[in-house]
Amino acid sequence: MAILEVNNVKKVYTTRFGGNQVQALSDVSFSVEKGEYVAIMGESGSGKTTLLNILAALDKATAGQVLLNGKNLSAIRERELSTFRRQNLGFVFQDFNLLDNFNLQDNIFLPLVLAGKGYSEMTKRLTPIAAKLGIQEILGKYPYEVSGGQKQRAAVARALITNPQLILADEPTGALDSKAAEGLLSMFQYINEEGQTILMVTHSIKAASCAKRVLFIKDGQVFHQIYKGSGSNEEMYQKISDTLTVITTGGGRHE
Amino acid sequence: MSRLFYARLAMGNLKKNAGLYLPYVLAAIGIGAMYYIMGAITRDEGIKQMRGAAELSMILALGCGVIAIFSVIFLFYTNSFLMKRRKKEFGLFNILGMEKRHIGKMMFWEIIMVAFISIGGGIAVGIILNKLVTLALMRLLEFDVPFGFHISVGAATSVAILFACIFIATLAYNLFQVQKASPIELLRSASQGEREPKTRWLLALVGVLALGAGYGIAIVVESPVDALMMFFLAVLLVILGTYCLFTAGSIVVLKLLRRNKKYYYRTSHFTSVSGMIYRMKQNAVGLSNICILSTMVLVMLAGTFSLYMGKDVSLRNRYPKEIMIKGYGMSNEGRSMMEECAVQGAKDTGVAIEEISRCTSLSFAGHKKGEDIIVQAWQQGTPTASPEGELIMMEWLTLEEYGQFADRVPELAEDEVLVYTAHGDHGDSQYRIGEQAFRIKEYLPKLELDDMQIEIAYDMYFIVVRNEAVLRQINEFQKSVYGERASEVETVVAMDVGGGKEQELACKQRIAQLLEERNPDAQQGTPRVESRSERGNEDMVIFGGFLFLGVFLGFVFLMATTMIIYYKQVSEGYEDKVRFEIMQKVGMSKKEVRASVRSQVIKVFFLPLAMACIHLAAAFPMMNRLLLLFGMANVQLFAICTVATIGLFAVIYLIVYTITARSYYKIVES
Repeated sequence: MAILEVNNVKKVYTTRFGGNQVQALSDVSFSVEKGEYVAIMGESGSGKTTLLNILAALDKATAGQVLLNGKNLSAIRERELSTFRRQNLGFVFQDFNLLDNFNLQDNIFLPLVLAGKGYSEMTKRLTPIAAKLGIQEILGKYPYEVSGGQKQRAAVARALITNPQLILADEPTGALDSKAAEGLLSMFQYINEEGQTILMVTHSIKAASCAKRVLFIKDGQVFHQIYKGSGSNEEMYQKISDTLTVITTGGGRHE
Repeated sequence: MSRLFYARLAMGNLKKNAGLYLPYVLAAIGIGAMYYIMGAITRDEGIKQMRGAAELSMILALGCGVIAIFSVIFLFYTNSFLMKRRKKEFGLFNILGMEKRHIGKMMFWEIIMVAFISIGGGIAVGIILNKLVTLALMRLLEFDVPFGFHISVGAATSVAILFACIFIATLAYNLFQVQKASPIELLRSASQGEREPKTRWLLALVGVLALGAGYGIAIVVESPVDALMMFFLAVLLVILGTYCLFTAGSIVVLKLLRRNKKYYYRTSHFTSVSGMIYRMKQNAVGLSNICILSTMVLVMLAGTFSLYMGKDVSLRNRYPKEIMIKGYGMSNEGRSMMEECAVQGAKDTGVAIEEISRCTSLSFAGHKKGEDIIVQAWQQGTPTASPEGELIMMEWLTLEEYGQFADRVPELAEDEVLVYTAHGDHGDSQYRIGEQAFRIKEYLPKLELDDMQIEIAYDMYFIVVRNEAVLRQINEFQKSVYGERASEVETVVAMDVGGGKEQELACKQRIAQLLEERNPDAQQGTPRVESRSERGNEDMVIFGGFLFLGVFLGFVFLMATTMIIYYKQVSEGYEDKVRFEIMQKVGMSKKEVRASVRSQVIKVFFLPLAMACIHLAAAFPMMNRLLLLFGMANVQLFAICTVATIGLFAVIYLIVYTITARSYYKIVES
């Protein structure tokens, strides 16, 4: 069953005085099945971030529709939107977006507190996640006291703790060194194997090669996609870089 | 490179940072104008020639000093805020290839421009407002308003010198700040201070103790004379306590709240408690400044306002009759002659005597312990422990004198007395004083004398003895103990005369003349004569001067408070902007974020006002006693004035908050 369905999404930005129109997404359609791990790749300006914002209901599509579990995002009323987001989506950002005035534990609790959960329930949920992510020792520390990798793991924990339908990750390895990035990616793979659906936007081949499927976006539409199948990460890496070479050397749509 | 390159750059910088610099320059202009006006009034020739000018100019000079000190502190404080915001800019200039001395040159030009505008504007505004303020002062003092419009060169020079010094010091400080920092430090300094504040139990404890002690002094100290001396200590303790409590106490309380999981992990408390911890750390000093300034404004306005309002009552307390003649140690003939002089004086000046009375009594102090009244000399230089018991004032008078004012005169034996006391002990059966003992025949329910000392410092006991002989014995006894410092028997002739103030004054002068000529008792000094309306004029100048100063300084402090609030809002706005965005991404709706931010901002900004009101409530008893020293005994009036002042202040505070909050939300939501 498809958790996420994106049908003919189009996004046009209009400059302030209505003069110029910029088409960020022209016609994007794809779907994500439950338990999938999908990476979306594309160059800067290809519309990745726009797409992610629309999926996250932070932005509205000009045309087309996005269905999450069969529910149309654009049909949700404004004041229910943040609740909906909280209940169904988990976010991991490039720059972590942890609040400086909370320690890691409280940062992770934030969505649950907003949902009105009790303290015992929150700790019950946190314990297995913290163990999985290996951050039990540093829960009491503040974001400025830990490394980037640790911050990102805390951010993943914050995304996981609401048991979301879908995790949206925006360049999660972008601000990490290669070792920390590798750790995070294997973490993603691990939680995906446990059944968590993940959609990741990235332009790192390394990051994308961990996914089960990679979508390529170019000029505002889905240009190509490849499946990992039963191959290894290394084979996937090779496939992705081949595809990218084709795209950048201007290969037509039909190889 | 053109020599004016840096000047142009500086001009551009000021324009770009107008949001920061405009309030700073406006505040500097405002304070400059205030300082000019104060200086101009102090130097005003017209005022110097008026009655009571000596007191007035002393009060005004005090005001000048306060404003000068205050402007130094305030402009420095605001400047440090500006620097904090601009360091990033300087860092960027530095990295882009400007040397520090170039940055210094640019800063020099900036300060020159700011100083030029501030000083020039301050003097200009001061000159314009001066006339207005002088008119207000004259009205307050009920003086005639002199015509004309003039510019005080002396005041303008002093403004220029003071502000030039302040700006030079500011520049030196800023240059030093930039000089010692590396470009990276400069770049980062705006985002410094993210660290979780430490819990400082000791400091919080000091705060509680200091505040408790300050409040304790204010509430416990009973005598106004002690109050005057302790007031300063109490003020210092409260200021110390306020700083400690705002910096450490608030963090301790908030962290305790955070430790309470049930309380902390709730939507409404979660972000606000942690947000407050973060805010308090950065704002504690600013908030305590606001709190202390507000308290000062309130205390000053409430005190001077009620003094001014109550001046007629207090005058009547001190001068129950219009003309009072006081003589000391007068013989019987002398006493009669004092009265004759009074009658003659009234006759000579053609005023009708409406009422005249004469009263002779003896006042001295002693220590009362149970039924014993201990009279013991205090020797200078020797730290003799004062006798046990409570210090009291006694006023002794004869039955005959008492009879003048009473409807019913009981019989008294040689060793019997009548006693009246308002707040002293009522249950005694006798007094032992020296070798003598007096049986208390009766406690009088009321007593109204024309020369009744107001009970300000100590409990007063009015003791009526049988006759002059007993009074003389008592007098000799106290003289033997106190020696040179002993009191004299005081005779007061008090009278009300018809006619207006002029006649009253003329009559008083004629009486003084007569007393001088006739000299009622050759062995004693000439009795003194005072007139109520003459004294009233002096009161008017003093209390009017105080009120003027109170309002004026209140205005200056209020301006400073406004400035601090504004800068706090702006600087918080920049910091909250980032957090605001993150919270939205994590799943808070815009409305939720706004509500949370608003509740924090309101809590933080109304905390100082609430605290200032608590301070004022604690200071109330002590201020009340201090006002007694000025003869202002009307607690109710004082209470009304205080409440009215708080109300007015709260309204102004609210307006200031609303205006500055708008600029805050503009920054956060942009």
